[in-house]
Amino acid sequence: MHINVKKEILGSGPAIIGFVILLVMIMAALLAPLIAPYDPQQQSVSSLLAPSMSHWLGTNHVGQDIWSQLLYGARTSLLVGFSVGALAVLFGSICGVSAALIGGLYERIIMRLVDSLIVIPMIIVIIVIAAYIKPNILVLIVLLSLLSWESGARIIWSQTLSLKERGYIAAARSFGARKSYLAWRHIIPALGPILLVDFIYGIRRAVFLEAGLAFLGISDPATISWGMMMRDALGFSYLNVWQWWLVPTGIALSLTIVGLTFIGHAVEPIIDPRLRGAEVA
Amino acid sequence: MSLDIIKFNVIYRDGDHSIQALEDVSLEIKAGQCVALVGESGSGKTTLGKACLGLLPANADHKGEVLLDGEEIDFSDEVALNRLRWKRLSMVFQDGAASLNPVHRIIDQVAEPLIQHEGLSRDKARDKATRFLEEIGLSKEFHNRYPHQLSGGQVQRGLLAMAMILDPAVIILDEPTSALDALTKGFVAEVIREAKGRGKALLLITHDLEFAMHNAEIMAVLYLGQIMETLPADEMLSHPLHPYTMALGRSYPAMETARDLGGIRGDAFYRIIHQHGHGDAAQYRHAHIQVPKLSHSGVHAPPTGCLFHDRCTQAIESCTEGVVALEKVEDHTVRCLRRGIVTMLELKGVTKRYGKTAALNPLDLNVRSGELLAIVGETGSGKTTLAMIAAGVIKPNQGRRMFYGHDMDAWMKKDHKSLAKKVGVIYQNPAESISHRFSVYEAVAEPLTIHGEKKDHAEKKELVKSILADVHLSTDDAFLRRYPHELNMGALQRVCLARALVLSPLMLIADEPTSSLDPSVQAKVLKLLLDLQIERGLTMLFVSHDIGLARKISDRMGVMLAGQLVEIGPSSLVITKPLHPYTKLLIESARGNWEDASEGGSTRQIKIGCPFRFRCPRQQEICAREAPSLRLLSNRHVACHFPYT
Repeated sequence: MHINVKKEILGSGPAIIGFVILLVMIMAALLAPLIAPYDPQQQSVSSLLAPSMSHWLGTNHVGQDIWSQLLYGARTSLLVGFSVGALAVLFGSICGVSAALIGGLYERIIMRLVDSLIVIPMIIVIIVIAAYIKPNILVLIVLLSLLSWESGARIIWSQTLSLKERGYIAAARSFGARKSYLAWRHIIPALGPILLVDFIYGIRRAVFLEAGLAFLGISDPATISWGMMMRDALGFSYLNVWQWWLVPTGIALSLTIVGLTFIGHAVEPIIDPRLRGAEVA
Repeated sequence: MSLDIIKFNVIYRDGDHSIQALEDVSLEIKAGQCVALVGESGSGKTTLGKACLGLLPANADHKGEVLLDGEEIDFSDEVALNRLRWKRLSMVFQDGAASLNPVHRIIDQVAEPLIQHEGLSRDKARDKATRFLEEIGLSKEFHNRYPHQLSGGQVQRGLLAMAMILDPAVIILDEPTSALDALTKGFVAEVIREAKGRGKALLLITHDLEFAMHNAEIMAVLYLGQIMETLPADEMLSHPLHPYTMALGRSYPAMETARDLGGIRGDAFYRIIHQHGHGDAAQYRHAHIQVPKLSHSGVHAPPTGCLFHDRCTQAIESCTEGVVALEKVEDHTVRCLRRGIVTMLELKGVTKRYGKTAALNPLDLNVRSGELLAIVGETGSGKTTLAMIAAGVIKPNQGRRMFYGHDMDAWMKKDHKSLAKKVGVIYQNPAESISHRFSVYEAVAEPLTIHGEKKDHAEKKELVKSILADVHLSTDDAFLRRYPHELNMGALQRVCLARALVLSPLMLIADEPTSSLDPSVQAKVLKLLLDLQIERGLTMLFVSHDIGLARKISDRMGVMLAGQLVEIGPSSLVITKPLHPYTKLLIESARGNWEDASEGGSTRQIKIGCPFRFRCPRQQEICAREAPSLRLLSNRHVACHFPYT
């Protein structure tokens, strides 16, 4: 089974839309210092202004420019998303591949750990922990990564088990290849598409979780985050500021998640060929 | 009536160099016994025959003694020799008519020894010769013909009559069958049988191995003037101990051998001892083997050690040193530093179960260096499991595995890589066994990468290319960059073969290597395997369900049933005279006769008794009670209570 990832993704309309959305978000996040008209942290007396030429989306209750906050919020969301996605894939593949290759007691321990992490309701655990330690962005990334690698590890583990029995890997083993060689030269390349799917869903989950935690007010109040913006906006729901404060923030968050979902949906058939159309052999 | 040759040496002088034709040849021929002397041309067979009669040319120096009935022949005394020749010791010369006098009638030539030795008158001698010739099957109308008017068979009868008319005790037959058809050969065999019955001692010089096997008791294998092995004649093809004997047997087109002819790598010509110029003799004299194509200035290493080492496929470093002596091994004598063909792989009581299913019952197997052992059997008989255990890919539940004299499991635990280097594996499905992400170059170079060998890229590429050339694949860069899905199955399997060979393994284990190939590609791949076997001396374990195919390439064949070997022996015997009913069933099915294959259901889970009994036409009450164990029967092992005999 030779999967052409590029073809798989570019052949799907929603995936292209997803990519465009994600690209826009990434550009916004990267270029925020250049395109944001104000320092998003800077407070002023002109609070709760309606949108105007100087403040495109008005200002919030402490007089911060909402448009600038929205741009900087993308930074937080995507930074947390990509870092957690990458770290989760890293943990997941290290544990999954090594468990499948080494086997024995080591495999049993790792996989039981994975099983127990899967049954624990992650959101509750994170809320509990986060509520205690009020994590800054770095701690948040680590925390989310540590609690979201297990489902990927399980998929990678089962895929590695099946890959291990492939003829060419059995052949390499019979030539005396070490496990590390098998992992690097054969298994990781073969897992590539799966790692990609795992990565994208990891990002999506982390973006969502970060926003959710901030919305609940249990993240570092010093970081600008879409979740926190929505929480603040809700406090003023009796005014009409929600139109330019709550709605654009919600749209930005939703678009990001929808974009990631589109991409993920396009590459998902890689994990499960049964989802493929008949024309793909 | 016996002939004893003791430490006989012959050197032909020729200008400033000499040819060592015989070296320390010792041979004992007892009364009523026929000893066959075999070997390639130029090995010194005829020289030995002629030497016994004192017929060596003037430029030959000899050393050592020949005893006739315990008394030494004095080759310097021509008169005594002449009394001896024809009367007590005679020879049938090779080349038929060429060794007869063309200007005398055949009858006169046969009568001549009578006149010379018995002092008979011409007429009496002719009478006796006439009777004798008729006895030997040459009818009267031919007696007055000249040699060129007779057929090859008739000339051979004349020569035999000449040699036997004085009823000598010892007869030397030099290639008596080389120009004869199979029917006339039968007549020579008859003469030999009859002479043996009368207590004659016979020395049969021949390159016709099958004839020698059927007519001699003992066979001596001569190579470049040295006896390499003496062995019971009937073990020549089935159980040779010296690599040269095995290679010689493999080259011979015996009727029963279904295997394609092999050969022996390299050439042998003469052993030359010579000196350059006229310097100090001690310094300049040296010996080497003169190979026909090479000029003599090319190879100058004096051959110390085993004379066969450069053509031998199991030669090791120390084979080039010292003097190799004849040694007694089993009931053979062998001139080999390694005491004959070494055992490459030895399995002792290996078992394998998958869950509750026994894939292998306790099983013993030996694979000798340089041989091709085919394992055949029906699906699910445990062939692949056996091959993979032998390859070290899967671990047996019980039993010992020895590879090259070392315990395999201990070796694998200590250093898997160095063992893996010595065993190449080819898998059933070539497309599966090469990663689709690897180019041809990467695939073939993979074992090198794993072993960290040939780090230098150019060197690595060179090696990969030479291996690809060995398996008859293209070596241009465009081909090296191809991916597996761009190649056909035949090319892919050859890439797999190249990959398995790139580390120069001692042993190749092939699991149904040609089952995914069409017949023409299959033929090419198999031919390639056989060539490699001759050139590199690869030991091969070849697993196949196709008994027809296995017989074309294997030296020995093992037949598997329900996780055990039920018959194992020389392929020719297993195929032509199967002993086990299951083997017979397999062969008959391969021929397309399926009516014998009665439905028997699964044979796997039979715990007691013979696993074949439900399908067996010969089963009796004991078969249900007791599982037969392997026993030696007509040159092979078979596990059956009631084998075909």
